[in-house]
Amino acid sequence: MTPDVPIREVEDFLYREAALLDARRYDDWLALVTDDVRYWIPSGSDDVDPTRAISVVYDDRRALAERVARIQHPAAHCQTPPPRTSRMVTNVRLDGADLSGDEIHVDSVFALFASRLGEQHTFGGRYAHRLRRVDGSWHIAAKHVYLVNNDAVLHYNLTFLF
Amino acid sequence: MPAPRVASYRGFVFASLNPASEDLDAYLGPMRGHLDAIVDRAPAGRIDVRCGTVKYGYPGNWKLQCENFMDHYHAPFTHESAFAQRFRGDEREKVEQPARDAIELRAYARGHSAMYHPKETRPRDAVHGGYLDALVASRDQEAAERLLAGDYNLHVYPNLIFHETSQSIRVIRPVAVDRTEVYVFPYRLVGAPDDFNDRNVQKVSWWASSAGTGQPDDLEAFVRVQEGLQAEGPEWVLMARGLHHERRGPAGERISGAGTDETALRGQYRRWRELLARESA
Repeated sequence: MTPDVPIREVEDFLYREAALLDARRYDDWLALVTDDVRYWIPSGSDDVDPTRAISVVYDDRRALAERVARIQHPAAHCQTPPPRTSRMVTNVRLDGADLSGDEIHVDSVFALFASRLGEQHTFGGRYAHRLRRVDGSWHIAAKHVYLVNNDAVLHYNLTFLF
Repeated sequence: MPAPRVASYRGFVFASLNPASEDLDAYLGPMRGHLDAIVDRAPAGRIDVRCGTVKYGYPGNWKLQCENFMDHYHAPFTHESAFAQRFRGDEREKVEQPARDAIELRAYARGHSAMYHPKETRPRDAVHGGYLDALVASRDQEAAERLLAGDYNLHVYPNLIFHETSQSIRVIRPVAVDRTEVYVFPYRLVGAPDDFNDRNVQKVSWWASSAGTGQPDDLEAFVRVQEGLQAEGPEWVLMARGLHHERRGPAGERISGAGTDETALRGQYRRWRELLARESA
């Protein structure tokens, strides 16, 4: 089945999401996620069960709201100053949809540059988004971030959102 | 290269590259009782460490992570932004930290130490109740209550750490004087209900990775301390908090009744000095 969703519309959503995150407009980003969202960055491999194994991040909506509040709290030392990020999202592919076309799976690839206190680090990997159309606009029902180096020793400050 | 010395205690395998190192039982000393308590919390009497790993590295000395785990002075301000949250929505007692004065520290010989929180801080809800039922069924009410009366942070010197509250183990790998890697391993209490273990594993994800809610602020502190230690002016770091009211326990350990004291840190550095003096002798 080919879902009747223009790829350009999906790309536009992902680019806007990337711009919000790079601008650290976290509350605006939070308005784009559904109540049943899962934001997941697996650790060790792409193929683990986050309910039973440790993750770099495995958040439901409540945990995400706390994460966003915490990194914007004035006493978040790891955010003093905050890492500045700039990311590219590319190779966007529609990877499936439900019958109505209101829920779609999107695969993409990202490269992210993070700079803090004069040091720059690069991160790369794959995003898997599950997007749901709510009241006519796309929302994030799931976002999986498969870091290409998720089996390695990770940088000490990953407190931005991927 | 096979390690010249390998021995195990309660399923924990220890290795040493020093062929002349002392026997494991003597090395662990009173820490054996603490390791017993970790394992005995599992209704089946064993823990399962196959829950994956998160690894983080920081440009700082390995001893900073050791100090961090045995110190409660830093927690309210280092983790202020985390404690302002509700811990994944739990209406848990953790929000009100147990009185810092009630936390007990023990610094044993050989650098080992224990920090005792006199109150278990996990939420006492239905999920916890299921675990309690399983534990009581495997022992008896009194033994279960004794095991759960409080939570320990343990440091088996030099580089092994247990955090009983979150059911996790950390292994510290010193790579260079200013480079350290830490592996975080959650563990499951075998015989406890899945929902209880799953929740604890997920809370380790929430706190302890370098994207987590708590750990990155500690890491930020390590990096700043490492930088501060490069300063050429002051030659000494004073670690005297609580020195005046330490007492001695049955194994000769130094005990302090305040988590804000540097009793355990002094124990770590006493051992460090001992080992370095032996090296240079």
